[in-house]
Amino acid sequence: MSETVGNVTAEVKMEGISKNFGAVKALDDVTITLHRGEVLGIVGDNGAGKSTLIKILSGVYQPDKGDIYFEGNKVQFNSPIEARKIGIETIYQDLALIDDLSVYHNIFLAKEQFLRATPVVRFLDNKKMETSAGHFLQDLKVNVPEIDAKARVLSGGQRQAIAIARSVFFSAKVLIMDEPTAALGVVETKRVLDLIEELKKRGDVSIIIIAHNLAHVLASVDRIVILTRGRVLAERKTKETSVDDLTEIISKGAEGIAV
Amino acid sequence: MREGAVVMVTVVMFAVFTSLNSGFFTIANSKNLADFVVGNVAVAAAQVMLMIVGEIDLSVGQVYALAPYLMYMVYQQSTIRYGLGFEVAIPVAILAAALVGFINGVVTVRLRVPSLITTLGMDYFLGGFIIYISHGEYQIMPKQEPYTALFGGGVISGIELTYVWTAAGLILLAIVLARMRHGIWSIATGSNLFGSREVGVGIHRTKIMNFILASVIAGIWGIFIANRAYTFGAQGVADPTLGGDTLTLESVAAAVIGGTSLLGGSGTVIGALAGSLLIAVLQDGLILVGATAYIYQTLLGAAIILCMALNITARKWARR
Repeated sequence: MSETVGNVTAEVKMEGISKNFGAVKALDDVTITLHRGEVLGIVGDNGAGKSTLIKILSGVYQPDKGDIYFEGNKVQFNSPIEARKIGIETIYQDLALIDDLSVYHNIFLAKEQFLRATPVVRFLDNKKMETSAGHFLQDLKVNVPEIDAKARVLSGGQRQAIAIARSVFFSAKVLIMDEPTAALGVVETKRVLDLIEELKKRGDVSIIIIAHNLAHVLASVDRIVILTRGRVLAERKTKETSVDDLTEIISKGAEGIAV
Repeated sequence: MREGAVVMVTVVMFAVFTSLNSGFFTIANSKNLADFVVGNVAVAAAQVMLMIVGEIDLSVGQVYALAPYLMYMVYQQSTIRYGLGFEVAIPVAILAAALVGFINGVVTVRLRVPSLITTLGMDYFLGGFIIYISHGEYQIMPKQEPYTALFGGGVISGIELTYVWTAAGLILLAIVLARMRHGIWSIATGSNLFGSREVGVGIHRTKIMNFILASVIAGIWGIFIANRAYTFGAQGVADPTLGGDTLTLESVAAAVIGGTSLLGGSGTVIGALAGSLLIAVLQDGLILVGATAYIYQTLLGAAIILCMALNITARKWARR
């Protein structure tokens, strides 16, 4: 049974999540919903609980209290592998690509395609992987110098874009991006944001973006959740807010003023 | 091209030795060169596979000596007791080699002992073990066809079978690297360990496989070389002092000279071949011009550093 809000279906719902690390309350009764095809931004100061929340959703941590629902069903992850299996992928900036492999081998890494399935010796179908990776990147308007170029020669934005594309290619349903543009220049940032825009148009993946940079987030998300000291401080639709508005909410929140 | 430096240095050395001694650039001498290369290029290529995953095996030279000696011993025992010879002795010797590689691999990836240390320990352990079981004396290798011929004692239309196996082995490894998942996973594991694990590459399995591969190749080629004398009518010998640390270091040298990075993620079979050839040219050329063995070591040392420096400089230029 999918939970329906209006006519939008909830892809993920995290309900009443609490998590303590020793005496530190990292998360205190947090509830967030990610609708299908939506891009949700999670912002907040350092220590607000953004990373902890996302690590719970991606299976790195287990919550002390609270439930996670995926497409209406209650789920529980004991490891990131379990989360990935049902389609929740996390994109890490530095870990993502293998420098010494070509772009297409990176996209197909650990999901290689073989030339006819012979039982004992299986040979890679490099041509097929190269062609389908090329078409797919073209579809998503991701520009790379050459599909058989080593990942080493790619720029930061290209790397990020390819890591994202790889997850989508293998039918991730929920993409979690932790500071996707943090280390990128203006042009490179645009590259990643353009890709997010493209994915939004396609609508078959729901995205959570964690970010410090409000300006970037605002441009590409549908909704923003503001966390402070492990609690949800406020929630705004992008259309109804501005950077100034959000900055004020966050700074007031930091001073402990109710909004 | 990564192998550019070693090819350049080899060509220069070829020219130098040819001008110094008219006997160098001859058919007879190219056989000498090939004999040297065929003895250690397969081990060098296996070392490359290990260095691609960011590991090293310093015990290959001892396995190279151990396998033929074990084969001899098992042959003696099994012929007396069960009337069986190499059909038991060869599998036992190869399995023993595989076991050494498996232990090297498991200790390295599971107990997280750096492979430099794991295999250094294994090197000493096996070195002592071989001397212990052989009392340091060589033995005549028994002859039992077709096994003797297949494992290095045979000649086919004028060409030693060992050459055929070596060529086949190198081509196979090159295919594994370029066209099989194990090759891609090896590069991925050596290039970005955690990133590879993150997307589901079996990093431990890949490393252990390459440790086993290196050991098995060293063992089999040790057997080939032990049987070699049968190709020209003499008797093969299981010599416990064959291979050893000299072979180990030459395999590492050939890999490094051929452009394999110690940091993992890169390396080629062609590089191992070029590296082995360079070492062969150096060793053989110096013998022909009448230099002493010490000069060989000195120049090999210089060649290793020169090739490495050229490789790094070439890569810097390529990036511009």
